[in-house]
Amino acid sequence: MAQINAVLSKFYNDYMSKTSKKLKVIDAYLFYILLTGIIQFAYCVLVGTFPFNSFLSGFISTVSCFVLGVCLRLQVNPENKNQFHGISPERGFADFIFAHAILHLVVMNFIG
Amino acid sequence: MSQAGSKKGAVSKLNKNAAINSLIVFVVLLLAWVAGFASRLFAVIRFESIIHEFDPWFNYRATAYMVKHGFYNFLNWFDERAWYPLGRIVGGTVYPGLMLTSGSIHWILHLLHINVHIRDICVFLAPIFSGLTAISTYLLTRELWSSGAGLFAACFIAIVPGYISRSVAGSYDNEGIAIFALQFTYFLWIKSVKTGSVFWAVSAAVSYFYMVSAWGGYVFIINLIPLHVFVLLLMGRYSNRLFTSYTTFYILGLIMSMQIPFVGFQPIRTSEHMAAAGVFALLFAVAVLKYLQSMMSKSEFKSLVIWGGLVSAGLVFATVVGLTYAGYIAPWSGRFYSLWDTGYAKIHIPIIASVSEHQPTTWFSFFFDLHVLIPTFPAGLWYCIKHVNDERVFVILYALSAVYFAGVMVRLMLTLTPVVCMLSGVAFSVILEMYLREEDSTPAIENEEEESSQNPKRLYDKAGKVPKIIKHESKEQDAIGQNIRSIAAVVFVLLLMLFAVHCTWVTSNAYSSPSIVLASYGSDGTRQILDDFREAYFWLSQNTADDARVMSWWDYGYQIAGMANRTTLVDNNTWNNSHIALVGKAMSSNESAAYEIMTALDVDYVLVIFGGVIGYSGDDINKFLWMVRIAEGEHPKDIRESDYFTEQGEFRVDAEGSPTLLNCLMYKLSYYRFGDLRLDYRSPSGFDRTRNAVIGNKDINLTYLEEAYTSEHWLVRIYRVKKPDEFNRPRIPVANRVIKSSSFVSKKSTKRKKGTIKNKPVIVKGKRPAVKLQ
Amino acid sequence: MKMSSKLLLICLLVAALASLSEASIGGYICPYSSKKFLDIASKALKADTQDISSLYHAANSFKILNEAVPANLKPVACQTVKKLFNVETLEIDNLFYGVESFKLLGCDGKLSTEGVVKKVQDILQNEKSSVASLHYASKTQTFLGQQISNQAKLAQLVQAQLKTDDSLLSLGHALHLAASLGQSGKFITERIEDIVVQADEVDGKLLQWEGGLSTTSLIITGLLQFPASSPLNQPQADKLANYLLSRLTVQTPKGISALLEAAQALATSKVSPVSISVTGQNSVTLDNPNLKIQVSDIFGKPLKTALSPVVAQSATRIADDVVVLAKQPLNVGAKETEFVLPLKLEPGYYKILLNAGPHSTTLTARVLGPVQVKTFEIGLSDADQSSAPKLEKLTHPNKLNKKLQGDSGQNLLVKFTLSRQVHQAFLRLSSGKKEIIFVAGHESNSQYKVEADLGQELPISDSFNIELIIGDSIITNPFRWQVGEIEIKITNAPTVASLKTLRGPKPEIEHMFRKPEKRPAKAVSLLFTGLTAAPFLILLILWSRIGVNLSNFSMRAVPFHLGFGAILGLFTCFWLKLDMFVTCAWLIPVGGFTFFTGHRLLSHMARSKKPEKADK
Repeated sequence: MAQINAVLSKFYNDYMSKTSKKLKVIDAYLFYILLTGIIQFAYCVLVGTFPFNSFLSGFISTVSCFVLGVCLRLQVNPENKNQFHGISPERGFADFIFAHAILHLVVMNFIG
Repeated sequence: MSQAGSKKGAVSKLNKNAAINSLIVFVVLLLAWVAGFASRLFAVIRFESIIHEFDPWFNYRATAYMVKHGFYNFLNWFDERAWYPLGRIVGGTVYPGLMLTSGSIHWILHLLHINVHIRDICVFLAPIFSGLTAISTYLLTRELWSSGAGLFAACFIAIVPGYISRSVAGSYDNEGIAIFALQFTYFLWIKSVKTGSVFWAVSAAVSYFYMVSAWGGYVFIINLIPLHVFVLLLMGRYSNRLFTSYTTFYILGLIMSMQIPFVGFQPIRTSEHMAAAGVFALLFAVAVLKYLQSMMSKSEFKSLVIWGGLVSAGLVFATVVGLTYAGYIAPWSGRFYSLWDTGYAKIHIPIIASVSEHQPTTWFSFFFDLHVLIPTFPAGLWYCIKHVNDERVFVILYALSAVYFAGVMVRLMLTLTPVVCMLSGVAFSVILEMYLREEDSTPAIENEEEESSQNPKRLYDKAGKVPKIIKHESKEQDAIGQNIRSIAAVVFVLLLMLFAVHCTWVTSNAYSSPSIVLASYGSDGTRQILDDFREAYFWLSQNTADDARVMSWWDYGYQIAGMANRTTLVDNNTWNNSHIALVGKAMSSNESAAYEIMTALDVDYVLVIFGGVIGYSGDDINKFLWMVRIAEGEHPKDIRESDYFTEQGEFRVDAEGSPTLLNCLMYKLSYYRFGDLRLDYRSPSGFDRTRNAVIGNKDINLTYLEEAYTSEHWLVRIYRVKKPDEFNRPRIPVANRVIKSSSFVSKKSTKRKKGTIKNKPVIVKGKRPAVKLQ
Repeated sequence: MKMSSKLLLICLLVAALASLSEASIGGYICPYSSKKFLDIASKALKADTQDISSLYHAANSFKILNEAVPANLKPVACQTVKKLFNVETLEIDNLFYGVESFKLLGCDGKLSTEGVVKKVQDILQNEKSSVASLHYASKTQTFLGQQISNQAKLAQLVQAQLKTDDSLLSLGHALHLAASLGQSGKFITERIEDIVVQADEVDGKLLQWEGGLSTTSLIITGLLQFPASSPLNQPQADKLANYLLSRLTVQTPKGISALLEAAQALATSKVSPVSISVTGQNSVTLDNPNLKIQVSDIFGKPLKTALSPVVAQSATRIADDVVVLAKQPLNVGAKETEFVLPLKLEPGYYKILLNAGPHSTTLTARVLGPVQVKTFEIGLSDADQSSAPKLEKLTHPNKLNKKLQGDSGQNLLVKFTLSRQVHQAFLRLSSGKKEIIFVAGHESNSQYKVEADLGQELPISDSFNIELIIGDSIITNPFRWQVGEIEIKITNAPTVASLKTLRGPKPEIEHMFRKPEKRPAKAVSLLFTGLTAAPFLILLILWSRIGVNLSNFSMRAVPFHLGFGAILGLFTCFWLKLDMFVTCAWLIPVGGFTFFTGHRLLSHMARSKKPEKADK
């Protein structure tokens, strides 16, 4: 157990030191989305899922935002530059916005 | 390695000749489109611009309704004319993509003041989309292999009978547009896997959404793509591109697919969709691990993975199993089971098995529908396996699964066709590249052009190019003699020609019959049109009450609703098995038992299809055993299939047939008055041409029904169900008696105006003096 | 009133039930009819009428029925006659009626008859006078005490007139005229036979002349004034009498007088019809078995020559054609015309053949007897015959002492035995206005049984009265017996509504929608809304801690952010009110603008970045 604790603390320190500021901003955003998603899930477990489409649209919307955020992070991360040739961070951000426009159109349609 | 090198060379070459190449590509695709469109018009030219078959009639009716009442009213449309007395919520039980597509085409054309009737749009929708399919096939194959292979594939898909069978003009069905959506989704998926771009993934999700809205076969996509991802993971080909494309595609596709009312919450509730969710979770896990791996040393990573991996795997498994047991996730549906076990449907869901499309495919039909592509596509597959990369893994999986499904069900031949075309395109491209190489990849393109346009120039061009090849022969490592080259070239060109001829022949003979209008050939070769169906449906629409309810076997439900505009009990949307079984029970019971069912269902007319006069084999007597089986499934006490066979276990309609069969409603309605009919001098009266037998019950009397209409060739027979006051009936218990109303009804009619006096006295007149005295 | 209705009943029965034979008639002008005639006549005398003939006919009826005109009516009637009598305005027939009625009424004073004689003479001289006018004129003349001057000439005149008009009415008048002319009237005798054959025969029973009661009466009275030539034989007279009896319902004074005149003429002739009929009721009971039979003329008077013997030749029971008595002479009754036949027989209908001298007739009579309930059992049995029914015995007038309790799985079983088989035996269950009647099945030998499946037959649960109804036309005591009550519970009863909808439109099908599940309380919802929004704060905090770089924000970015904000705003509108198509239509321009501005911004940023990279 102590080993895991040690691993985790090292991981935290590495993260704080090595990760660039831009990525930290995105990570904060991801953390926020994650928290929202967890709260929604807690609501579903505790209270119920009655307007099921509303719940789903909310929850899937958070999951999608998270997924898109992760994608953005991956594409922006300079370490992955070689994997995404032809995709600049700006292009990644434009795709991110585009995907969000589509996503939220659908979410709004689904939320009822 | 040399292949890759030559490919690179080809790319540079292509850049040089970019303008010419794109022109060629454009021309070839245009010609493919035109050829595909033209060969689908046989039905319209032979017969007329009419909707075919059964399901298209419903699609057409729904489209017309949507155009008339608007999309939102269409989604809320409750069709009380179907499934009487249940009705059908059409908006929630239909894939609206087809109607939306033709509706928006109609809207745009009208916006441009081109006044086209919605029926013509419906008739020509499938041929137009076949062109789009060709283009998307080209794009997909280009991504997978090369532009040349893509052109081959586009030309193949434009004329291949396996696809034409579902997309001739007038066949206004979901598959017509769904294949386009399928191919296009795959193209966008491959594109997004290649680039890792969120944009392509979102486009793939949108295209997937269109597919979901169009066809139930979208399940194929949502299982194949996760399978692709999963196999890539197993092959250790994980990349961040894969992660971005799949996660984006999945999550957007998930929420979009739930917008279709018919699909509803199925994507998160049924087992068919669970594989995709599982892969989604798995991909996340892999991504997290990879991220951690990049951050930590190996030993640290190991301990974390062991703990985290075990815990998360256990958690995921427990939730899925728990949810399935708790009923949140539905187990596999019956139709799906029938894909794994071909015998399943026959035992458990006779209604699925009763459709000829759901039978296992024969070898003959593989060859019939795909011809030369069948032997060549394994070659393409082999090339893909040999030069495997991320995209080619996809097409390999696509080919393997599609072959399996096509073997299980005739209908799924449709999903096999595109991949066969693609892989054959690859094979032909490689072969011709090998044998006709002069300068890298151009010959393939030129050959394809000739193949698709099928102009006589082909041979001339070839002759001009063969000598060029010789010049470059020295470049190739494996020396092939010039004779062999030209022989091989001629053989392959001949093969392609044969293929084109076969496609045209199959299309014109097998797939261009509207089945509403039948054609028969007389002894002198003249074609006679048998228009009995429309004749009878028109009779129904003109001679029956507007709310009359017509009972028929479910095959004809859509046609009755579409053409006669009358209420039906069951139709081709076979969602309620027990209701169909009830109709089947009525058809297979004797007359009085059937009458009880019919009065319970308020039936006014009964319609049967009878082919005994003209020898039409798709009639109700031939389908009758399915009615019995379906009825037996729900009412095992009243109907037993064995009662309808003779002691030897034969199904016979002649005098040796089982008495149950000879007295059931369907038999009586089919053969009523048929015993008196003598078709020609050689055969005795009551000779059934379809079954080559003299019927066993020639003297048929109907108590509860009366013949209302029989079409010219006896193909459609309509009977009216009598009201209770029209025949003798047994005693009614006092509680159910209705006392006559007090209002007086005169019995005087125009015929008997004179009243009579009871006990009229007889008067003997006295004798009058004969002549007046003057 | 009661008396009269009873008399009417008897009269009708006599007319209806007495079957006629050739040699007799089955009825007579009974006292009830006579009384009715007198009533009508009295009314006519009282009435302030313009028609002098009705006064004559009324007075004539009184005379024929041998009744004096009531004293109180006389002056009024006389006054009317005097007032109406006017030589100038009245036709000859009314003049005749005037003088005749004046005499019949026995009025005081004298009628001024000055112009009458002249008028009569004119008519008698006139060749164009009709036979009827001649008849009335000659009668008037005779009445005024003058002899007809030239009988031969009058006879010629009549004959001449008959040549142009030989209708039955003219012939009737001619008969009367000829009768008054004595020798000169002989000409008519050769036409008598001709007149008689003109009579119409109805059903072989009635004889009449065309023209109704008055014509027939005129001809009968006329013919019978020539007894010498015996114009009518006995059967003809009988048939004519039958005709007259069939017209007893006549309502006008003229008809009454005509009917009575003809009847009188027949009764006084040689061919006077003999009436043999039942007086009083044609049914006898066991207590009072005497059937009274009357032998009389058409007026109910004794015959001129009494007929004897009066014998019941035979009596036959109609039900089974058994002859129960033969050749039984009848006893003489209280009156001269009355004979008594004792019928000590089983209850039933009997046909009796009677002889009175040469005349015979067939009468129908019925003998009534009482009926008793011998045994009566009632109870409930199981419909599926699973257990033996438990029956309760009851004697006739008593009621069940407790309510029966039945349900839909049971049968109501009633068995009873009567002393005799009856025509109608019913079991009636009733509750308020609802009733249901079961016909008792005849088992054997006056045993009856009702078995009613309550579930099948009764639509509703209720408490019903049970009633036994026994009736027959040959029993003296038909009855309705309140047996008791039964409480019935129908479990699978169809509701009343479903009974009502047997006719008319069917009930509208209502589609069931799934009920929305209960939503959580508002507080919980609000709490979670807050919780969901809360992480946004965390985001802001984190960002501020990381230190977001806003310095890059330039005016270039404004349009893009505006466009993106517009898209999000549009989505909100879509959520709240817009539909898909409107949203898409708006999305195209807004999205295009955003795309354009975003593209410019990002490419600018990329360009500005590149040099940086190059620096690196």
